[in-house]
Amino acid sequence: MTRQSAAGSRPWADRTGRILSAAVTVLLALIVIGGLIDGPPDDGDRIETLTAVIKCPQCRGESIKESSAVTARTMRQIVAEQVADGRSDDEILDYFRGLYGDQAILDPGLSATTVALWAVPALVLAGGIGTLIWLSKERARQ
Amino acid sequence: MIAIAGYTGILIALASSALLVLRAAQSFLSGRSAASVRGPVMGLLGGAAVAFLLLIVGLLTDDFSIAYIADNHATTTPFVFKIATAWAALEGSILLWGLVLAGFVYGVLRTVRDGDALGLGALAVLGVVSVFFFGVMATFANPFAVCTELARGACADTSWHPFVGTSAPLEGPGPNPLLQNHFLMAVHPPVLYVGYVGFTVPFAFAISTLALGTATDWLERTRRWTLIAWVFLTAGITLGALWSYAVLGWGGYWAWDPVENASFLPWLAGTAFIHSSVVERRRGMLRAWNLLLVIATFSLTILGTFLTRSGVVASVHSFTQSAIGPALLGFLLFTMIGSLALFAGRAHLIAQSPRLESLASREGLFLLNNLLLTLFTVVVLVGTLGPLFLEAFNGQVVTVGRPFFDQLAAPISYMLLLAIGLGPITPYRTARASVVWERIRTPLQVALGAGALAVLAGRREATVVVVLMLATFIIAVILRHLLVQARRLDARLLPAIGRVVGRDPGFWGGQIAHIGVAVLAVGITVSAALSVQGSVTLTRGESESFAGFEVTYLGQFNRLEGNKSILGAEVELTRNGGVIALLEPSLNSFPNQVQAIATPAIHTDLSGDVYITLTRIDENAIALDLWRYPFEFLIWMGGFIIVAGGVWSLAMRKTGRTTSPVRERASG
Repeated sequence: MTRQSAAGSRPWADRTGRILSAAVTVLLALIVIGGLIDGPPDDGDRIETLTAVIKCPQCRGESIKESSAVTARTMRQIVAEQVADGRSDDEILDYFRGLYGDQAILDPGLSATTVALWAVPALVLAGGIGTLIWLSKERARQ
Repeated sequence: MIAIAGYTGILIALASSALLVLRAAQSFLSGRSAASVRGPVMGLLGGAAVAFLLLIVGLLTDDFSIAYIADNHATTTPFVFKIATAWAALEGSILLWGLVLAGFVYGVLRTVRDGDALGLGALAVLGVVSVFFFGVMATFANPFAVCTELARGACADTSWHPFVGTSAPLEGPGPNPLLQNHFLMAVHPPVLYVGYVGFTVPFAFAISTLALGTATDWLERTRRWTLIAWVFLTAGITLGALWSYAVLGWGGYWAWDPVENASFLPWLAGTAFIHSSVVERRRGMLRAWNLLLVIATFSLTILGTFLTRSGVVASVHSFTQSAIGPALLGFLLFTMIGSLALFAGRAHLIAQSPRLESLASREGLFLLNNLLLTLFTVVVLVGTLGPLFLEAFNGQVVTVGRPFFDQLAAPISYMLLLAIGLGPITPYRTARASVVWERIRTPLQVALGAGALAVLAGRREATVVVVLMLATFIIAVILRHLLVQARRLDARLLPAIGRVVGRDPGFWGGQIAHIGVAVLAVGITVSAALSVQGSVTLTRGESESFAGFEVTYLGQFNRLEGNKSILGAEVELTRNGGVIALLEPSLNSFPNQVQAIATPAIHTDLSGDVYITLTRIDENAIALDLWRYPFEFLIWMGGFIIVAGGVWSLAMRKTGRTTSPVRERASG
């Protein structure tokens, strides 16, 4: 209450305050956005991403990134070497698929067999959004 | 002797449950007095309690003639774990389940009055569930089956018939070493069971409502039960994650393991239910949807029990395979088909036409919350069961691991966090943009400030910065709202805050839980994104640097704690020359397992955890795996703040005045 009446008697101060506040907001947003604009992934990023999706063959559901098994350590080394050799992500994943079969990759990806895994959540999402729209339309018609 | 008495207890509980179904159904149909159901409920509770106590007595007196005890108990097990053995394996865990269920049935009985058709119907449904569980204990999973034949010191054949000749080993193997390695394992299962079983109560009232075919006050009546179940389930999951982190020594706390998912699924559905039930109580909307959600939540608890106990999924939690699997699957199908058929036939009598005035409103955000939580449930369900179905139908082995869950859970969680930030301050019915803007402007600036600080401090991980901003936004919105409300009261600030929070415990308990979610989200994101992992081999006296610390191997030690023999290394942790901690990662072995368990040593301070496991130890050298998890403690803190929010709602509700259901709290 007091703040409002004070501002009311000094419209100039109020407007300056608002402009200042908006400027600070924009500045903060620019800092955040500027900080998060990312260059292309470097080798370290690629090794992180790749090792997280390759299954450790000795473990139960662990990736070679998480696992401390000896095999996982060796496989991490292989990934690092192949990245350094300039092979693409797909080439590296295919290399491990060739060795251990499709289940070597923890990420099921999109294929004829796994389409249901992605389709079911997608359908639920579409159905949910549809229901929300229908609910608000229903209201408009009343 | 114990076997006979215990089995009798189970039979009494089973017979009482059957009688409860009959009498409650009779009174439900005829509108007669509730007095006739009291006897059966007392019989159920008494039988279950006697059976459970006798199992504990059997464990404490080393009665190895009982097969369960012969298979899971050892005279050398420490006292706490002797008791915890009562729920450490399949049959005992079902007995604990039955006892908790009986407790809930008794609690419900105390609220049922004469002619209370809704309550009587609910008791009949609870009776059906009890018949199933005690029926299973009387047949496939009898905790009091006696050991009739020995082979190599273990029980080779059992009989449910307590009068056959028994043969008892002199000593048993003791419980699974993973379970007796840490105190948390004694606590985690019972807490989780109270959560699981508790959801039976709102389910029973929902089915009773459907059977009645009219709108009832079932949500109001089950609100406390639902909250109790949810609080315990939340605490159980948090304790489970903590146990996984502190005991299993793999350096993580959550693996999207099928059985972790099995506990997370009812939590997601139950959380959606808690939120959508607010909309029904306030605005009379979503009646049918609430019934459906509570049916889903209960079905998911049974699914979880099935997954843990049938051996269909390989997991650290799995009990041995047994005939109980098909029984649970049958009960799951019976529950789902039965409730959904009832729902299909009756829901239209209860549902009302939607009265949503605008999507831009508190109701709209509740709907968004429900959509997101349902989607989350479906994602976890598909990821857990998908591989099983694909293998069964196509014969194709597909691995669905962390990447699948993370890819889908992350965007859903971001949306949820945003909805949590906006929900509590968005007015009901129609929210004017100017009102919402006024309430979020300052919090938005604070959140941007937190993001900018993180960026200036050198953080470039998008997940970290985004989640930090969302969490700050959530907390700032809530605190601002609290301060605005408190300033309106004619009192000093602190007492005024106390009055605001105490006046509407339902709302503020929810906001405490929301703050917990924000803290949890930061903990999960930061500890994962900024974690450092390494492994070193050290000879005695040698040092190696790791993530800004120096790790020095001082020497090894060997000691005995109860039945646990510990072979460990003394590792000194220093930073900038100052000693921070002396850690003792170890290999713990138990008499009943050759393979030792790598027990981690964890140092926690304000900057986070250093987590060390011992992978190899010999005369001169040790091999260590090391992890650095910044701010890992925020995960546990967040989990327990969420629990505290639920407890606040529950505890204050009892003493506080009930608030009018139509009053608009946050929009004023």
